[in-house]
Order: sequence, then structure tokens, then C-alpha cells
Amino acid sequence: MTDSQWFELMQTDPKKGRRALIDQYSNLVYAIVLNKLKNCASREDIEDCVSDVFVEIFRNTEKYTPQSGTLKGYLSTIAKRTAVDAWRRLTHRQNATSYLEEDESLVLIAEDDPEEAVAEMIQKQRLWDVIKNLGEPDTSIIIRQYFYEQTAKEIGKALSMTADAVQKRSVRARARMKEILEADYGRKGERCEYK
Amino acid sequence: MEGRVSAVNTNDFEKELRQLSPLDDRAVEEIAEIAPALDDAAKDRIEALCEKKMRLEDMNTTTQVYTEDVKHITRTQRFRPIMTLAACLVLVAGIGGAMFLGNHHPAVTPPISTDVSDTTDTPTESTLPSDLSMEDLRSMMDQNVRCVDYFLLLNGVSYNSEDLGDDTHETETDAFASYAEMKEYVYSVFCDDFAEELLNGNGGVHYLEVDGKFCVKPRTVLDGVSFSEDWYSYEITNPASVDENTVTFDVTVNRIYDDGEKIPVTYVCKAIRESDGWRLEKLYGYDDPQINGLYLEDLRNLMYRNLDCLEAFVTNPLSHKGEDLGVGIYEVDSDQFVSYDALESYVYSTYCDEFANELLTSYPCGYALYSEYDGKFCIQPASVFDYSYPEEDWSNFEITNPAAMGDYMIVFDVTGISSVATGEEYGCTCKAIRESDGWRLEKMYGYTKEEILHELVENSMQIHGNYTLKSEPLSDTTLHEIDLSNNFDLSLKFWDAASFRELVESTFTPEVAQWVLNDCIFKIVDDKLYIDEAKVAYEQGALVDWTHFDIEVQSVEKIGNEQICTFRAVATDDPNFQFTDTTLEDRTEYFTATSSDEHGWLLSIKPEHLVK
Repeated sequence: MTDSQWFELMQTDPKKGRRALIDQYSNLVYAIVLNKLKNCASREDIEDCVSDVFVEIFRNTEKYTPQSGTLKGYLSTIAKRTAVDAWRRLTHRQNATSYLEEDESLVLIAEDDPEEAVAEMIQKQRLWDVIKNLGEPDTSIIIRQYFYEQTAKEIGKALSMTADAVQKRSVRARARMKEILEADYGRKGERCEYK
Repeated sequence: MEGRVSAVNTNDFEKELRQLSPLDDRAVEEIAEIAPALDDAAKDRIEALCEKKMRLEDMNTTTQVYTEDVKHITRTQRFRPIMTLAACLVLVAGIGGAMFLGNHHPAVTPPISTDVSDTTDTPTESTLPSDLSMEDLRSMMDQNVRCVDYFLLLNGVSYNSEDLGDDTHETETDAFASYAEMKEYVYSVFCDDFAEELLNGNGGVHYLEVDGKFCVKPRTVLDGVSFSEDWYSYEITNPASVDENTVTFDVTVNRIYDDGEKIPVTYVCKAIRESDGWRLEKLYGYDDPQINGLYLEDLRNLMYRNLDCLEAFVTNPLSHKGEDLGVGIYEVDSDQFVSYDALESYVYSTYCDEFANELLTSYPCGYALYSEYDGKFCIQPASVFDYSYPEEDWSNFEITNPAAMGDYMIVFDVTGISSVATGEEYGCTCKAIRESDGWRLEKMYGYTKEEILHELVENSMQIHGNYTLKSEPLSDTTLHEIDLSNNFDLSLKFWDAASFRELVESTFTPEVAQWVLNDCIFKIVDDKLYIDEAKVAYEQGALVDWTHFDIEVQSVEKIGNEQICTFRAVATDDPNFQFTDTTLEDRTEYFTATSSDEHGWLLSIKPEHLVK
């Protein structure tokens, strides 16, 4: 469904339009929210925050026009903002060790040691590249295991595998990642970080 | 966390991977595309949450100007979500003087909340006492839902991460300013006895006051429950006065299981008149459902009995007194079953008659393991199916996805059985059948001889498999390498030549394994797995799907130190695959397996499908 089609649907059948937007973008919104709230919120909190994002979109449909940018971009912006608000609310009065917005955290680290911040960013990016290149279903397994923190059983259900097979593939995938990343560091003559 | 994918050693990136977040926007977008996290059930929940929030916002907007007026008529002003809702109802009805939870109610009010309960028709209202309306029942159930959130799910309750001791944390929820307010709220919703139990018993999340702070012990009481209940949508039906102080009504709510299946469950609720108004008898939600008259607890009991029988007949037969009574049978020496009658009655009350009869007369080796001889309860050790069974841990098993198949059958999954040695979890799908005097299991579940043989056949069929071959043969040969790098058969038990060899050697006796590895169609060269195309005979005729099959044991014989079992595997109908041109003969293959002191059960003749 294109942005314009969705916009038209919202005019003619708002309920269908709302569901269509959830169908199309809830996974993206969920991933954005989870990325911010992972360490301070339960799954229910995260779903609650995701629904806040959609409610805000539905409430402000008239503010969005296809000319003002892509719907996906608009949604992503609202999702990030709502997630940061939720993070502030959830960690209020705590000595939070939770994830800050990546830009904020980077600034904080960068103040202490800009080199370390950049190195960490590069390392994380490399790790992500390796995960992406594992191939399916290993990429999905690692994402679900470490990003979404799903159980082997949940992963198995999502990927039509047994929990046992998920475990085995996860172990093998991590072994392959280790080899790749160690080879990386070996080539650069640096100490291997992954021990 | 139990069931979570576990690392086998400490060198495999647990730490780095756990710190994968936060990622940049592009990576997050890619993640959402590669591995979408939400299934339809989750989307339904989000949609329901959105609709609910929007409806509440609308109600708040229309009643904003009256908020101050509402506050003084509500019984406790800080129960924000509930009170706002109640206030809306009162105001929409235009009756400003009604008491929340009190005895004065608007005659006609719009429905409180839910989608399903938006049944504004109240034809049964007349069956209620004059001081209790359908609207009051809905209001009470909304409060019940709030308590489900607080006491069972820990939803909407945030708390400080600092542990004040004994896993006690100060709450940060704005729904209640103090423990006293929460207590007052609970007493306003439930009868005194239950309110007391809810606040001080062990049944739910425990709230308490420590040094004047409103604290929570945030344990979740629903760990392991494989479903959620959609309390945003419930329906109230069949209200009826039992007497002037008691009203019963049904509340139906959708229960959503982890696999997305929705089953409506109905709670029979009771409201009781107390001196200052109507209260719910107890908290409703997340109870074991009753399916066709059978509670989950009953299924659990059946599975415990199954475990007893599994041990007695298969994995750990009853001990005996050691004195041969002359015909290879020994008197049983067991506290668990003191007589043959006791065992027989236990078996018949656990399994359907047909299987119970088989178990007692011909299981596991074709003749009775237990019998009555000369008035004594005896065992014939020679008919034990020799196998060093892996020890199973059933202490944490769960019943999940119970589904009624008509009035006389329930299918359910049993999960969380694990191997004591490896911690690996497994499960099975079980059937309970209603017989004239109660529910029975269709057969024995667990690591039975059929399971052992099933695994061997499954391995053998996997070895036979359909492979993608690399087009270029090994130089000067007809050997084509099997391309396992693009293998998407996720149930495949091997992934390279070494694991293939391991699978073959754990499936066949040494002689047959050597034949499979060297003389059949396979060849391992330089740690790579090849198929010799010159030896492949492409089959003609019916295509049989061996994804699902049954094992039928024909005989078990003991010859010297060996037990020999002949059996057949019959491919069964798969719901996704209808057999159209296959005969029973096409779908049947015969096997022989052998067990000896040297090895456990292994297939001991070349399987037909590999010989072809």
C-alpha cells in the first residue's frame, strides 16, 4: 500500500486504515521502540509504547500529507520520540543504566573518550554486518535471540523449527561469527576482543 | 531464563551480542525487515490498545469540563484510570450525583469499555436486583481487569530498580499514591475475605508498605503460562439473581495462545451484596480453563499417571525379589503397586481401554511384562525392552494449547520435558479421549520404544533425502558434491560430512553404516560429502511424504545378548498433504532393529529406500 492509498483509506474507512497501518509498519515501530527501551521495559511496556505511536499518528492524520515526506519516515520520527519519552518516564528517579538514545549515549561517551566511542560504533557496525551475512535462518535466529530476546521456543515457532534446532544453529552461527571476527582482528594485527 | 537459547561456552559472544542495541536507524530498519517480531496476535493486541486509548481520549475530551465536579463524587480520587472512566459514564448519563460503586446508578448508561461488550441491549437487566445494573457489572469487571493487571501481570506498575531487600522495590506507579489507597481500592472491588487474601496471600504480586514507602515484590505469577487473555474485549452474558444478595453472570474473554490460536473462555462470576454495595466474590482471569468438563489440572494428573506407567513398563520396571519362581518370572517388590489388581486398575484409569489392554498383555515386547502367578504379583524381566533410556526430567512440564476436537477428544501439547543429561527440552502432542466414566489418554507418551524406533527411521529417511548437487563432478568421477550451504531444510540433522557420518553411525549397526558410507550412493572425500550419480536410481511411481509416520512393532525377540525388533513404518496423512495416488503398500516400509550389549537400538538391515 502506498502512502497516498493509505491516506485515502483513512478518509473513507478509518478503522480499516488504522489496521492497515499497523499491519504494514508495526514491526518497524516495534523494532525502533525496542531499540530504545530494551533494558528498562517489559514486553507489555513496549507494546504499550508502540500503541502510543500509532495513536499519535491516528490522532494527527490531518497533519500528515504525502507531500510532507514518506509515511515511513514520519512514523519512524514519532516512534523514536515516543520511545525516548517512554524511556524518560520509565527510568524516572532511577539511576538508570538503561540505554540512552544512541546519539545521547555517544555524546556522553565521546566527552570522556571520543576514540573509544568511535571504536565502539565501528565494532557494533561490524558485528551487525557479520550477523547480516550469516545467511538465513541464522541471521534471523541471532536477531531474535539477542535483539528481541526471544526464547528458543518462540524463535522455533516463528521460523517453523524445533527449539532444539534453533539452539544448535545458534551455537554454530556464533562459532562462525567468532571465526570471522577473529580473522578480522588477526588481519589487522590487533588483540582479539572476542574472548 | 528457562528455555532461552543457551550458549555452550563462554567464547561465543554472549556479552557483545547482548549489547547489540542500540543500533543505528538503518540497522533497526533492516532488523524489522529481516526478522519481523510481531505475529497477528500481537498486532491484534496493539490494535485493541489503540482503539481503547482513542476511545478513552474521546471520552475524556467530551467530559473535560465536568472533571472537577466528578472528583468529589468519586469514592477515591486518585484511582485515575478507573475513576476517569467511571466519571465519564456517570457524566454521559447526565447523572451527577451518582456514587461510584454505590447504590445509585443511572438507569441508562453507555457501555463502559470493551468492543465485545458493546452490547447495549440489556434484555436481561430485569433479572437483576433493582440496585444493580448491567452497567454496574461492567464497571465491576473493568475494576477486576485493573486488578488482573496489578496483581497477576504487573502491568502498569513501574518500580524503582533499587532492591530494598528481599526483592522489594518502591513503586513509581501514579495509579495509587500509597499502599493505603491500593488497599482501599481492593476492598472496594472484592468481598472482604478475598480482598484480604489478595493483599496478604501468596496468590499474586505482593504489595506492601516499607518505611512508609509503597513497595512491590515484582514477581510475576504467570510465568510459564502460554496464553494471554484479551481483557480489552469481554462480554457479559446471563446475569441472574441467585438470591437478593447474590448475582451470577458469565464473562467471556478471548484467550490467545502463543501460536495465535484464539479460544473464548467463560468465567462464571459472582457479585455479592455487602453492607455498602456490590462486590465481586474474587478475581477473575487467567484461570485454568475448563474444556469439555476437563481442567488443565486434570490433564496434568493424567500426564503424571502416564509418567508412572512409562516408568513401570518402559524406562524403569518395578523391582523384584530376585527369586526365580521357575518360569523366568519373579515376584514384584514395589511400594508403588502392591498388587496386580492395583496396577491393572491404575492402567485402565489412565489409558483408553484398547491401549490399556495392549499395555497389560503385550507391551513392550509382545507378551505381558506383569502378571499374576500363583496369587503373586510378578514381573517377567526378559520382556523388558532393553535400552539405556535417557533420564527425563518431568518436573517442569507444561500443558499448552489444549484444544477440544468435538466433545470427546482434547488435543494438547506437553512441553518442558528435558533430558537430565543435556538439559535439552522436548515435548509431544497428546490426545485425551472421553470414555464413559471419564477422560483417558489415548496411549503412552514419553520416550517409549516407538519413539526410539521412530527416531531411527526419521534419521534413515533424512539420509535418503533430496539433495541439491553441485553441477561440476569431482574430476574424472561421477561424484557430485552435495550443496549443504544453501540447505533450507531446517530439520536436517547434519550440515557437513562429519555430522553426516555421525548421523549414519548413530542410526545403523556398524556393518550397515559402512555400507551406507562406502557402498551406497554416498562417498566422503576430503571431508566433503558426495553422491555418486552413477549409482542413483531415480524412482518411478508414487511420491510418498515421510514427514509424518507411525511405527507398528511386529515382534521383539531376545536371542542371546541381542534383542531384535521387526517393525514397519507407515507414512500417515499430513493435513497439508493429501495422499492421492499412494497405496498402503507405497506408504509402508519394513525395518529390523537390533540392540546388544555393545550398542543401543540401531537399524540392522539395509533400508529399502536406500537399497533402491
